[in-house]
Parts: sequence; structure tokens; C-alpha cells
Amino acid sequence: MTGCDERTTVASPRAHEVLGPEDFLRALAPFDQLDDEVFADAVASLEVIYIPAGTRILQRDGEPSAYLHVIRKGTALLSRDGIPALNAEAGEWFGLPSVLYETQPEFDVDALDDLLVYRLPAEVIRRLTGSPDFAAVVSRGLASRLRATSRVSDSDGAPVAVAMAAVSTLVRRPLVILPAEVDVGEIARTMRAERVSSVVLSTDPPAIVTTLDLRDRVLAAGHGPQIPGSSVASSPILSVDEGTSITEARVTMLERSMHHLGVERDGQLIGIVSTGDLLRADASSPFHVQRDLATASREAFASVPDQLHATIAGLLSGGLSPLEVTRTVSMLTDVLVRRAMSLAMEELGPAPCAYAWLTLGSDARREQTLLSDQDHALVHEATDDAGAAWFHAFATDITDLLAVAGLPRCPGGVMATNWSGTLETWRHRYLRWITAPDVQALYETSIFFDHRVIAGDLEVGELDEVVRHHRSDGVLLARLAAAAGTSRPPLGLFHRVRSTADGTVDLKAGGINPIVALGRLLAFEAGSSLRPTTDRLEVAVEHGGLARDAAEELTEAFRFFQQLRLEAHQRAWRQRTEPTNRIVLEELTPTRRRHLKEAFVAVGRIQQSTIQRLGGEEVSR
Amino acid sequence: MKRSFGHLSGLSLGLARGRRLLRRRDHPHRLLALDLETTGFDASTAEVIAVGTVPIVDGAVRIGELSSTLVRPSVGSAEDGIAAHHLRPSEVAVAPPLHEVLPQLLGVIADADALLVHHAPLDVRVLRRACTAMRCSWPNPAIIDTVELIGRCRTRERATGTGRRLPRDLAGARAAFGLPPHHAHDAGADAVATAELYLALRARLAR
Repeated sequence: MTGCDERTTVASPRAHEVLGPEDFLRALAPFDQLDDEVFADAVASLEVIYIPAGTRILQRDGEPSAYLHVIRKGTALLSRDGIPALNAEAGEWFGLPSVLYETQPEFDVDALDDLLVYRLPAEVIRRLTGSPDFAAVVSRGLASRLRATSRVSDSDGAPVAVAMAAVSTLVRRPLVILPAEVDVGEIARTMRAERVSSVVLSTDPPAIVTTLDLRDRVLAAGHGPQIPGSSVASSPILSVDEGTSITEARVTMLERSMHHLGVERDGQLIGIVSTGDLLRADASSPFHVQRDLATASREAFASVPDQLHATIAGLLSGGLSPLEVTRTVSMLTDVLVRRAMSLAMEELGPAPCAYAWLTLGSDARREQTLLSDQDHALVHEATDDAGAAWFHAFATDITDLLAVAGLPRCPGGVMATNWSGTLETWRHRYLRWITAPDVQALYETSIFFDHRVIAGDLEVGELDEVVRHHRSDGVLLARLAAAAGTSRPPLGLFHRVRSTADGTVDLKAGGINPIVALGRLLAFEAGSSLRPTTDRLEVAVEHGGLARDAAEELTEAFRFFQQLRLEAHQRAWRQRTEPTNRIVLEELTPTRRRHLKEAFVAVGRIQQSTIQRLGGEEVSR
Repeated sequence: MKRSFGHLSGLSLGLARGRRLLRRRDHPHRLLALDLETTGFDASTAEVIAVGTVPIVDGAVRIGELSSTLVRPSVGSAEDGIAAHHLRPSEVAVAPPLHEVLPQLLGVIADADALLVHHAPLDVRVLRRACTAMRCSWPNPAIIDTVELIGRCRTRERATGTGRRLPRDLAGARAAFGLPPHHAHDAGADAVATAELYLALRARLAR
């Protein structure tokens, strides 16, 4: 029973300002996407717990989390090896990857203060992922959390991602203000012209009219466009200070079921943020960076590496799969290259003829890490000497810009500055390569088989046709199989992982490259021009070239190697040391060392059997 | 006003058993948080117009098992009592009467190790009076009163001279713990609010 003794001055909240556990969860993406029935089923298992400050909630490499934890009040800290990675606050959750994949938690999670937590059992969440779009929205929700990340430096200068971007970053335009006496018709026309969902009336204090007010208080109430705007406006406008975090702003709006929130600087209204803006902020993590890159000046290219590393740090600490991360890096690299091209054209003028800019290798497969070299090439229509000179200057400028942006030049020189030509030239190159007797040369040129057009209008599909045309050539297949054996996992006797004298293992040479080569080989056999390695493995299963469980093992191994690489690159970036694909075995946890060995063993086994099946052993001998 | 000895001893015995439960290290296995909305604060005349319950099992509030219903008071009950709860008389008029609700309610109370109420004396007396009137037997549960736990926090914090005084009302105490605002006067929401407050109080008293 409430309020039966000693009523204090605490005002009891008005009904429309508060949300119970069920409503709160319902308002959170992706639960807002669920059908009523499905949601009701989830709520049947919803529980509320209270976790005192200082409690360790999840233990990294401990038991998989039995629940998805959604924070209603308080702050939890996600950390690794005692290094804070991310704060989870009201309206955010933790433990999702562990819940989804029944894996060990990737982070230690501690209650920084007392937490009020809503939790859903892991099996309920896994069941929900079967419902349309939920899984996709879940990963976007995760990425979105990190979108609001900004870089702050802790004591030793290492940037850490913290979900604390200010709500003012969402204010994109000045206020749309109308005189106090306008009618609602004028308000509606202004909204249409300015493409806004709210306007501010210059009453004292200012009042707000939203599209919802036009519906609920004007049309539904039977009024016409002549009634005064002030009669349907709300005042005062619920506002927060510009320094308020996006997370807090979101919770404020959620709690009060408001769709618009004022943003104040020194007590003066400077803008209005809508739920739509918050959604876009949600959906934007890499999109923020994307926008920055798409408009970057030449001078700004120097700050790209830090920006990209910070984004990746955010994505990784949010539990995004490493393959999602590398896909994002490739997407951002595309944006960067296109920006470099338009900057180059500002200097050089338009291209003399149609062309296609090809990105090669890992970026073409959308498996780019920040350590990947620039690998690219140019295909253009027939042109004269002046045209060829233009393309060379073009490629040189772009290569320089990308180097400034932290993409190392290809040591083997596989760059458009060296590799340019007409489609006819390229067709002959392709033919020469696939008929070359030297297996090592075949392996080295295979980088060109993984190409992707990222700019230009020239149609280059026939290069794929050249390759596809030879798919039933058993001799070529056997030579490609032999080439796929060029790089092998570093395994010694009794499946011991062989490390170098300094105790390191090269993840790229020993893990990534063998899987990539297998994917390329099997896609060739299947006649597929897909690029991403995991897609190629999938196609191979469909086509019968690879067993389902083998494909899954390779995919998992690939994911694991990429995860270790990305983490190693991140560490190097934080410590300002030279990034490398080598990891020190002793620095891995025992569990991960075991996984690494198992992954190498699986790759070696599948590599061996595939090469044998396609006759690669004969060629090598 | 004269009250029977039995009512008083039932309440205080229940509270005493609740205190003993709380002295154990772990949470009682199954608690039932209860909130009644009534037409007034006088236990001898107040009528129940809404009941909300939610179990707390091993320290977790089971939202899926939240149950709440409006209750139709007997004819002639004060309309202002209903209005105070933001209910319209028409809403209450179609609700089931207490004699239909009570047996099920007593059943879930009997299933719990203890009954959890914010300011137990009023709700417990109202229910016991209803039991007598409807010839049901009161299951004599152990009772935990969040107001009493607030009192213990206040005593302790007065002794140590720490912090501001914890308010005794539900909304005020919740706010003091930083718990989110809730729908007051909604029996189900009040039951959940009481359950959450209990968990916060337990954590503080355990420090």
C-alpha cells in the first residue's frame, strides 16, 4: 500500500511519465520489433534482480551467461585484463554474444554501482533470434551502442571507448521557430517545407508543436487548420543540457514516452532531438565515420588511422563478430578510396575515358584489417599517351593519399600505379597466369582473381568469365590445389604448434592464407565468382566440394584467427607499437592456446584432404 | 476502535516470523510481493478495489508471474475512494467481486515462504477482515514489511551518522535508492515497485 504514512515531498510521478519493466523492455530496440505474441512469450520469463555495487556479474572465459542482462538503473563496467572497455548504462545490455552463441563471456562485467537489472534467460533470447529480423536488429543494436562511442583517454593515454557521446552531436540544424500567434495550418506547412517533425513557438517559455500533436490534438479532436498553434502546443519543453550523454537522453525520452527532447546550452534552447535522430544515431556507428571520410579534406587523411582504430575498438568491445568488423573496415576503405579519387580528380580533371578501379585481395573479399596493404589495379578503355599519363598521375595521387591514411603500400607493388591497362591487356594477363606452369607464380597472381570494382563505369565481368571458362580444366584445378598448399598451418610433430625462436606464430601466413586459398580454390571448382571466404565455403558445400562440418570448422577457425589478429592490431595501436600479424603464444590464455591449436589442426587436415582430392599432390611432386 | 486480539497477534506473529527469515544469510526461497488498493486507510471499513501480486524467487522478481486485478467493492462504497486511484466507477463495476478473487489470492499467499508488503498492517488487516467475512481461513504467512526494513536502515544510518534519512513512503524510498519512477496506484506496478525496493533494502542492510 502506498503513501499510508509519512508522505514526503517527493511528488508521485504522473502516469504517462513512467515505464514498468515490460514497457521499458518493449520500448528498447530490438524488442520493439517483435510481434505482440512473441514479446508476451518473452516477458513470461522476464525477471528483475538487484545487483549490489562491486559484484562480478560475468567472468571472462567463465561459464556462458545464462541470461541477457538489460540495465534499468546503474552502470556496469566491461573490462578485459583489468582494462576498462565499455560502460553499460540504463537501457543497454551486456552478455549478448555469450548468450547467443553459448560461448564464454568475452569480458569481465562488474557492477560499478547498485544495478537494477531486467534479465531474460539465454534460451528465450536464442528462441527470439528465430523470429524475423530480430537477429539482424540485435547486431545492429550492438553496433549502435558503439556508435555513440567517443574516444577519451585514460591516465596512460590509451583511448578507451565509452558510450558517452553528447546529445548535442545529434543537433543537426538550428531551431525552427514560429511566432506565438501562428495557426496550425502555418505550422503544418512549415514542417513540410523544413522537413521537420516539430516546431518551436516563441511563447514565454517556448512551446513545442509536433506532428503527433497535429494528429492527436487537431485532427483527431475535430479541429481545422485555423485554430491557434498555441492551443495545441506543449510548454515548457522537456529539455536536457547539451552535455548529456545520448544514452541518458534516450532513457529520459523512454521514461516519459516523449518523442522530442529539447537540448539546452546555458539554459537556452538550441535544438530539438527526435526519437528519429536517436534511431539514426543508433544506426550510425560506422556511418558517422563514413560521413567524415566521404567529405574528408587532404589534410584530414592523416587522422583517418586513429578514427578507424577507434571505430574498430568500439565494434570489437561491443562483441561484434570479427567478420562483421572486417566487413565494416572494407566498407569504410571503399569510402576512403572513393574520396581519394574525387580529391585526385579535383586536381587532374575528369578521366579521359571510362575505367574501373579494382580493389584486390582481402579488401575485395571484404576481409580487410587495418594492417592490410593497398592492393589495387586499374582497367580502362583504350586511350592515348596523354590518357595513360592521366591514369598514372591519378593512381599515384590516390596511392599517396591512402598511404597517409595508414594503408601501407603493397611491398610487392600490386598497385594501380604499376598495374593498369585496357580490358584486353588484362584478359591476356589472366590467360597467361592461369596457364602458367609455375605453381608458386600461380599462387602469387591469385590475388588478382579476388577483385572487386569500387569505382568507375567500365564493365569488367569478362575477367571472371576468363577464369570461369577454365573451371572444368582438371589440370588447372590440380595446379590451383597445389598452389593452395603453398601456405600451411605451423604444426609440428604430434600437432604441436610450431613457433619461431621468439615464441611467435604468424596468424596470417599460417591461419588466414590457407583458408583463403581453400575458399578461392573451392569457389573456382564450383564456378562461383563470390569473393568473401565464408561465402565461398558455403557455396562449396552446396556444390559438393566440401563437407558441411568441414566448412563450419574452417569458418570458425577463420573467425577466430581474424579475432586474434584484430585484437593484436588494437593492442599495438593502443601501445603505439608496430602492428603485426604475429602473436606471442605465451600471452594467450590456456583456453585460447588450445583453440588456436585445434584451429590449426582442423585447417591442416581439411587443406590436406582437399588438395589430395583435386590432385594437387601430384603437381607438387 | 476495538480490535480482536487474534488479528493483532496474527500480524505480529507473521512479522516476527518474517524477521527470523531475514536473519538467514540467503534470500527466502519464494516471497510474494502484494499490494492492495483500497477505498480508505481505516482497516475496519476500507474496501479492496485492486490486488496486485508478484513472486520473488531466489532474489529475482518474476515479472511473468505478475498478476493484478481490479475488484468490485460492495454497493455504496465511496466514489471518491475510487477516484483517488484514477479509476472510473465504470471500470470497477465490471471487475470480479472480492469473494471470487480471495480464494486464489490466499492460495498464492500460502505457496510463498513469506508475504512482502509495503506497510503491512493495513493490507493484512483488510485481508483478514475479508477472510472472516467470507469464511476463508487466513494462511498465517510470515510477513516482511518494507516500511520496517526502511526503519532498520534509518536506525542504522542514524547510529553511524551517514546519509540522508530514507523516506518511508514507497515512491520516496525508491527515489532515494535511485530506482525508476513507477505507476503508483496501479496494484500490479506497486507490487513490482515493492519487490524492487525490497531487493534494494536487502542489499543495503547486508552491507
